[in-house]
Amino acid sequence: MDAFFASVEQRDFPELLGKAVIVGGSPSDRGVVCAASYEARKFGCRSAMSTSQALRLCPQAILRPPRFQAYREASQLIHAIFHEITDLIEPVSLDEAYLDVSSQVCDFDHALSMSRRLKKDILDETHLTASVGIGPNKFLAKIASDFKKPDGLFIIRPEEAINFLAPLAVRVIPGVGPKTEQRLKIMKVFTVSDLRERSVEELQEFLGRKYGSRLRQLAFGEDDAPVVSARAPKSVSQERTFSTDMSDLEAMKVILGDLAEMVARRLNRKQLKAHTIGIKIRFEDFHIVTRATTIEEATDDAERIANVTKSLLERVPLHGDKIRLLGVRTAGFDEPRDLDEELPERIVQMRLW
Amino acid sequence: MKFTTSSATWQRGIAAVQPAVGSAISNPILENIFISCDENKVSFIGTNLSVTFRCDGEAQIETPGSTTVPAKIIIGQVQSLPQDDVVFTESDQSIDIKCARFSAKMKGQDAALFPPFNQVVEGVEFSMPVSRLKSIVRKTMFATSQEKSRYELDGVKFDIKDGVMMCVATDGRRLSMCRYEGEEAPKETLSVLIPSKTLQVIQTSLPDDGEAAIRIHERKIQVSCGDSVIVSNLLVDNFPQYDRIVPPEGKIKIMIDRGALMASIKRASNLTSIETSMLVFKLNKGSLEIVGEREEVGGSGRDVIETDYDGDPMEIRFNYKYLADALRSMEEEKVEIELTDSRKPGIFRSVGDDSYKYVLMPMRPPDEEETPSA
Repeated sequence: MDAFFASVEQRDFPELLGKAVIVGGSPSDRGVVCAASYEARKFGCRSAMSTSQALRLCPQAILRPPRFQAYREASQLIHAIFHEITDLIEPVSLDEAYLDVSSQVCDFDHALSMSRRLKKDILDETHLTASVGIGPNKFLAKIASDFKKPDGLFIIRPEEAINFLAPLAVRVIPGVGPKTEQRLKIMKVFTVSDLRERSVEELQEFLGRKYGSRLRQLAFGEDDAPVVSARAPKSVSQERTFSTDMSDLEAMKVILGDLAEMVARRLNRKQLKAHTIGIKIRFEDFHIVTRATTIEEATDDAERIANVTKSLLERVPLHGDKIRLLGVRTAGFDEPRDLDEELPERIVQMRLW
Repeated sequence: MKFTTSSATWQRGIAAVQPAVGSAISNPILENIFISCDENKVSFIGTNLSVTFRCDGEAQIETPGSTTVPAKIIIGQVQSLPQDDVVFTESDQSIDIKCARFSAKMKGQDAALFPPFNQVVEGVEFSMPVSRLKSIVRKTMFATSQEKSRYELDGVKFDIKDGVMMCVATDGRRLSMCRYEGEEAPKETLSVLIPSKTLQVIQTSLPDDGEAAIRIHERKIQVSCGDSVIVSNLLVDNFPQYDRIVPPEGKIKIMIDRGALMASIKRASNLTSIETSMLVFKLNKGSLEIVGEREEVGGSGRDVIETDYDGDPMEIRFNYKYLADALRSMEEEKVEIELTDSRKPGIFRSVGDDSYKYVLMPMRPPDEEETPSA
């Protein structure tokens, strides 16, 4: 979906149409931007940037608090439309998903007409525009969907992939962020075709074994990652940005306790127990430090998680530096338990199928 | 805009569209009721975007027009209005309502902001008595799934083939199905999933008598009856293949007085575990014993009813709430129960009405380990 949260705001409050809209937390609480309308993006506003920075870039922007219920409702409508096409849907976020239509279409032209219909259905049903990308795999479909935003429809056919990718900057490859881009620059790799000229060994040396070989595959438009519909959560985390920077260790520990409790509650609800517990600290100057440890017996207990995170915090050399964000992350989950097994005495309502 | 209508028409219009009124979460205008008048007719519309209900009534129109009024305020007023003419005046979104010595003023919102009412103008058409439609809804809707994650089960499946309509709801634990064969049943083959919310609106807001004219086109359904029209989106259809789920006839058949069974369940259910709502049904020659046990308080309750059972003793456990739902929806005096064993579904039918069938899975007893079923 295009500028999803911001578009929902513009749809529901017509007075916002054509205006720069930012959905996010208030700058006085150090809120961040959840979404920026295309009018605001022209000024450089981007999601995840602090609201105050976004408002500096675009002072005339209208700031709206997020209404997640409305976004979820729109998301459900969109997913209902997806389900009409296929059940092989991999949701990425509320407004983004991969659809595997390989068993629904006979060729790429068919996929193209299906996508036109999909865009129309989404527009009719939600009054929101979507950008659709078609490709022979997830990687190319993602690039195609980003290529003509907003309200875009773009297809990368298998035979075109090699030439299409060649001149693009490496940044377009999902997963290549500023840091990887920097490393690649040192190697004099700027475009996808530069990337192809490097050997796997060379890339692996600079980027790690796994990522190096994957990046080289992607450079040739190859991606064999399947569309996975029901994905088990990989991590559960909770973070908090403070309204004023903090340097008191004891106060931080109290906050870790709060965060641990929230994480534990969510683990509990999802019937998960974590082996890995970690913390994240963002300092005044925005640099981030993370620490994590693995415990023998998986847990969903708030106190246990809190104790681990507190000892992790003690291992970070803080030197009284001011920090602006603390986070608790859990991962490494045991297989989830069967919900039906939770009834007392194993009296179980049997199911028809 | 100005019109005069009876308080009965006013009340009927507002009350009928109220269940379809949406929430401000998706769009603030949806919290309003749309009112328009033209010629000698006043129309009320409520919508949450997926279900839209329009109700028309007679009125004397002085100045035609349209506006929207805040539903919450209006609904609070209508029930207590005296029986007299209601005079509705609107000018620049200032609304004035007078009825006998009562008068109210409020702010409306521009009718142009309200979503347009798009009727279904083509598609498959058929009609049935609205009383029959409501009876089908009553007998199936309770079995739809309330789980948010199973929205493909949050509706009743209407399957139409060779002039026979099958209406089925299931939440995975039970399945409720009604068959309808009317002269007006459509000849086309059609399969749609109607959302529970829509059926609820049909149940509460359509008139009780008359013919319901139904029109289905692509992902929309329209039901019109008397003064009312309802237009709704259909659900995306991932409904299970119910004909594979419905079991063949049970080995054991017993007949019981429906009222006696309901009363007996009610008595015994006072002493069931709150967590499981389980009742044990013990069959012996000539009798059915219903036992509830409530371990939390160390109590138990039992009740016995006569049956025509003539086989070996057997027992089966059911969630009594699921059973009571179905018994309550039936109309006939006697109910036929088909059972096979303690782990196979029970089938419940109305004696004298072979169009209805309810399939309920039992609860697995506590002492049995789960064994993979074939």
